[in-house]
Amino acid sequence: MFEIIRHELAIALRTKRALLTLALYVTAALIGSLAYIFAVRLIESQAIDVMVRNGAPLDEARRSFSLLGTEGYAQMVAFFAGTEQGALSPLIRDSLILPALMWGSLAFLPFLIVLASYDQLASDLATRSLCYSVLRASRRNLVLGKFAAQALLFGLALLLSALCLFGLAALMLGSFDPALALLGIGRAWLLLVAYGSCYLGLSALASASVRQPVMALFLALGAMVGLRMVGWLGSLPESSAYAILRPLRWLSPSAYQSGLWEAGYAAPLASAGAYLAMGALFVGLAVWTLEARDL
Amino acid sequence: MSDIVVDVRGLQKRYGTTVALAGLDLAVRRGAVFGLLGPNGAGKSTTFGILCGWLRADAGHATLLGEPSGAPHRLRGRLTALPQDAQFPRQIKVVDELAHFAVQAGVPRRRARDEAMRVLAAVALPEAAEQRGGELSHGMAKRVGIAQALIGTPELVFLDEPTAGLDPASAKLIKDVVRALAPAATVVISSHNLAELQEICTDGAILDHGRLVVAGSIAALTRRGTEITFTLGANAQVPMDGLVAAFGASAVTLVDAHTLHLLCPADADMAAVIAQALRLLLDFGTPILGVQRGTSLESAYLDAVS
Repeated sequence: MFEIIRHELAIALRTKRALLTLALYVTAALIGSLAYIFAVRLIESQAIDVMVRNGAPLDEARRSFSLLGTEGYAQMVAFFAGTEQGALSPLIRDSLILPALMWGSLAFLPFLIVLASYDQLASDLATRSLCYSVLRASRRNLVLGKFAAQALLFGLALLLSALCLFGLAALMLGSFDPALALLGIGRAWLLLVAYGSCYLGLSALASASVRQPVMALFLALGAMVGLRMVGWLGSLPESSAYAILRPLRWLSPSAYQSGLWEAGYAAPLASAGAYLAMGALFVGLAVWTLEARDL
Repeated sequence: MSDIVVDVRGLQKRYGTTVALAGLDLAVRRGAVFGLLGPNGAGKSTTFGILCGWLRADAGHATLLGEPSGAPHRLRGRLTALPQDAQFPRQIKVVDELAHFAVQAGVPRRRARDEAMRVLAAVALPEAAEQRGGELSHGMAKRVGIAQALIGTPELVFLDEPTAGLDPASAKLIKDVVRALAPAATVVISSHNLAELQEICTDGAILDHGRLVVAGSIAALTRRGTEITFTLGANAQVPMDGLVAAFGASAVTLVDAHTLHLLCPADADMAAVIAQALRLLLDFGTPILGVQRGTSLESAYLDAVS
């Protein structure tokens, strides 16, 4: 298994596509966070201008007003998180960088993961070079080894993003608390790793199911969209004739997204557990699919 | 230790409505260079695929080196194979890929690169070491594919069309490599080149429509121990009475004006039979252009599948 992971990492470094996709994520996370910080700062400066125009001293206005502490800001974060304002984790709510990181990652990370990993098995199936590998490693270990290598790469990219954001926050935020920031970023990293593993598993399953990489890409993207639509079943009103389908939303990864934003341990752990379980299920199905199929 | 290293019983495989294998039975003895023959669609590559764990059989079972087929990694280091149309991994250097295979086959990591260079040297291709799989020509890729099948000390080697597309010099090199593998390893080869198989194989089997038609030693398949053919010159007179008296009426057949067949018992001393027949023919003044033991594998093959 270790040898497969090492080899897959070497190929990922060589082909650069996975690295480029992950570099895109790090860059997008940085730019998004930077834009978010500037937007918050702009709103704050406009509010302070209004206060000054209404007669408040400038120093007093600067000291007394912070967007982060306002009810409106908390409501906005809660709206995008899809959860109750009171349930929001203070670590996220009171941070100037984590909401942007979480929003951006939850929205785009699945696509980036699929783009970086859709051909992990399909390209070897297309060229039949997997025939060489199965003489020396079990099909199960090949799936798990490739999955683990991709997971390492994407976990590393997330960590790199988190560290960059930590540095960005330290440079740009006057009220920067390193301990609190580390806690918040560490929490976000762990939750996003669990979240991403679900989609990495889905990508592995698509890749094991078809022989052509482009088909694996479309299959993975189609499954992602399909699962998101299943999540929408939760929005059906109780009075709807199809309300009986509402529980099916729990089959969708999106049903567990709001828990990642919530305070305490129970909801985030439950959500992370659901993502890890789905990831494991998808990888298990990928193993089963590859075990059963002709190469 | 069993003398049979490949034991196939009732193997079946369908692709949709097409029957590729219809209950194949096959046995390969240890140390043989075994040729698998048959027309296109006979089931040779499917048999290879199932035995090497690339394809799943619908029914029947097979054992390799005493282990059930289908999980070839359990025989890693003991079983190797050259797939017919699989591309050698393209992204990284050939030497790195071969070293990776070596480590997976149980070669210690510190020796893996040396092992990679050894097998590349065996196929006379050390210069390919630093090239990437995607940069190799067809012939080089084929030889690198054979090189990976030489990693370690395999006991059982499957080679599907090992010389297809190779120039004559490279093909000869591969034949020499195969000869050197046996009898320490058992080699199973699939090929359409019957002359080549006759040259290097000790045993063989002919498949047709997914079934075994005939199997045995190449000598038996080509009747080298039981049949002698004399090619006669123009206007040849044949001493039939003398030949019948010496070998029996059922053993002597004048096929046409230029071809005389002589059948012998399986335990006959072929040298003595040929000498005696030649003496009779020469004494009679029969012009003789050639003497051949048995028939060609091509003729045996065509007889079997016709």
